[in-house]
Amino acid sequence: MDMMSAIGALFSPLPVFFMALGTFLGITVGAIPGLTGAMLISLTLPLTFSMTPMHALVMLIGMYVGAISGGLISATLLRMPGTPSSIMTTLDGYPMARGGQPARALGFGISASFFGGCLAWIFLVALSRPLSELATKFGPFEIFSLVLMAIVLIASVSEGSLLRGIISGLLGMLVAIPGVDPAGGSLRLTFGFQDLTGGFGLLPVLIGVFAVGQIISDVADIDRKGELLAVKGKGMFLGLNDWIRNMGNLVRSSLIGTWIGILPGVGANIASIIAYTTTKNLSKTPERFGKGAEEGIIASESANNASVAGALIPLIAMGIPGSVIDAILLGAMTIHAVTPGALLFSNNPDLVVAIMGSALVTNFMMFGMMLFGAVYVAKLTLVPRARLLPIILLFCLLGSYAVTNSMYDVWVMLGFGVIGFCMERCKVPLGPFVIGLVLAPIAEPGLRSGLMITGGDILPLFTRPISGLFMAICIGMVIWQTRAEFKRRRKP
Amino acid sequence: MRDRILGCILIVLCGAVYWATLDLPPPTYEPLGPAAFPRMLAVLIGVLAVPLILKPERYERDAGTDDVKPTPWMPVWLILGAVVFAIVMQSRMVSFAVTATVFLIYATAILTRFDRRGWLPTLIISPIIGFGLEYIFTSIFIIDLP
Repeated sequence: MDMMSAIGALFSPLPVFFMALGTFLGITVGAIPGLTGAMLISLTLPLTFSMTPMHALVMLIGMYVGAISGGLISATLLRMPGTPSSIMTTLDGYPMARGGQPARALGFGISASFFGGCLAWIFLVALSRPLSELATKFGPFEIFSLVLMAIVLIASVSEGSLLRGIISGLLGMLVAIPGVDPAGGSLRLTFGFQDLTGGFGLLPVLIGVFAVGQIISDVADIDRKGELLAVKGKGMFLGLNDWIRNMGNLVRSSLIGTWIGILPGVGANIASIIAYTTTKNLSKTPERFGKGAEEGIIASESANNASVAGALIPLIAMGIPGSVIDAILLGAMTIHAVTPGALLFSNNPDLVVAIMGSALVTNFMMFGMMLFGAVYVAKLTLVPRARLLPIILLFCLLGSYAVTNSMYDVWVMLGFGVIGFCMERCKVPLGPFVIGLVLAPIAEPGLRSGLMITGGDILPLFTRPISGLFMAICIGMVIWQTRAEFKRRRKP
Repeated sequence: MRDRILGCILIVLCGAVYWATLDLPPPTYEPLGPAAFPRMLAVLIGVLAVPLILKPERYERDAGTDDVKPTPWMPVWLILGAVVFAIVMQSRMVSFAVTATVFLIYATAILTRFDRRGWLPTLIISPIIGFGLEYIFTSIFIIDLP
């Protein structure tokens, strides 16, 4: 299939419908505090079984773009970030809205999200192919060290300490072990349970830790409510002057977001925080930040949306997720028998076009839907959670059953829901857990094949240039983060 | 205290994993074999769990904010409801639509603290969702629901 026919296929009615549906659902779920994009995508995955891989992927990408953007609505009007990546938007969006400019605050956020998504998309198109070709030079040690680097990176930037992050990543890997040994075919860690022969299904575990864990968390403080600010007056559409005045900030924050997105495992939350902090540090009027500064809204929103396309780069080029949602997308690719990496470009160029194209098209859809519909979506944030959460829990039960028509998956989902909730309560971040879970199936064979090639010698893991670099980053991050935590603890 | 419990649970888990790997066959044509990787993970997690026990972090009490008090019993009742739902589904004694309807009414009643004002919409919406989902899953997605 050539490029033109692949683009034509993307713009046929069904894919356009799925992109629009995904973007709309993403915005809606992203806007409702307590519901996240990861929750939506993991719950939707079982429903995509009957779809073609293209339809499934474009819809999930629409959800991804929509969920990251939708969070700004409640962050601005409710002072409750709809998604964690909008936390920094709350700091300036809400004060600006409260100060009588809610439409303008939303306008800055929506426009910055759109700009960030578009700029990062250029990098997605330009870098994915070369990176996938570079990845073909990776041997088993490089793959193993890349996975280690992804886990250490996300562990070091996750909430809580590095120690908890690494424990979480290793636990994720451990959860992926039960079942048949990929090399020898013998059964491992099944503890005599017949059902464990196939291991823990990826989807029930994801639905459990992200959706059920979040539901339990939300139920624990069900009475939390916000006061929705009414959007009055004009100002949602930015003028040329607004664009020109903020162009430097838009470009800088989008580049930060793209770069953070490319780093394995890190994602939109960190992108938003780093871009906000950088903009504040570079600003001539840093005292305005936190009191309704437009630069703050722009930095946070352009960076978190740029990280979406940025995080897709390592995903499609190497099969390494750039964020937690990308880890779920990787699961979706596996379920639909799509192998990311160089083979994707040669075997399924139509899917590459679909993934890249949908990242841009859904960004335009998000822009239109948010500009004209944010006010209405905002009202949905007031739907009582007491009525919403039972329905979502029912979907979790049904979704995990639908994976293999087996009640075993429902029990796994419920079990991991409780585990996910307990992990959060013990400040053990879920991000590294999911990255470890998704990447363990390539990490272990990588290490074992590497050692088989070298006759049991582990030294090449550190001496081969690329794997040595990855290991150096790992060790450097651990030392740097440990020092920072040690210093922080010593402060009175 | 929370950290100490977590650390102990992790060490017990790692001990169980390590013990389970002892039965695995030794490596034949490769240096590592099937036991080495899970064993390595178990040892690493076990070692990293020790600082949690020795130097636990202090947690702030979940006291809630001024107007919001945490409701720790609600998640317990909700999950219990989900477990009962799963058992009924597994037994295949009652159809999915009926089970789902009852579950939705139960869960909404729990979360609204049996508020009478919400009964009517709950009694209308729950069967619509329960029977609607059964129709969608069995007729459109062709998934055999219990």
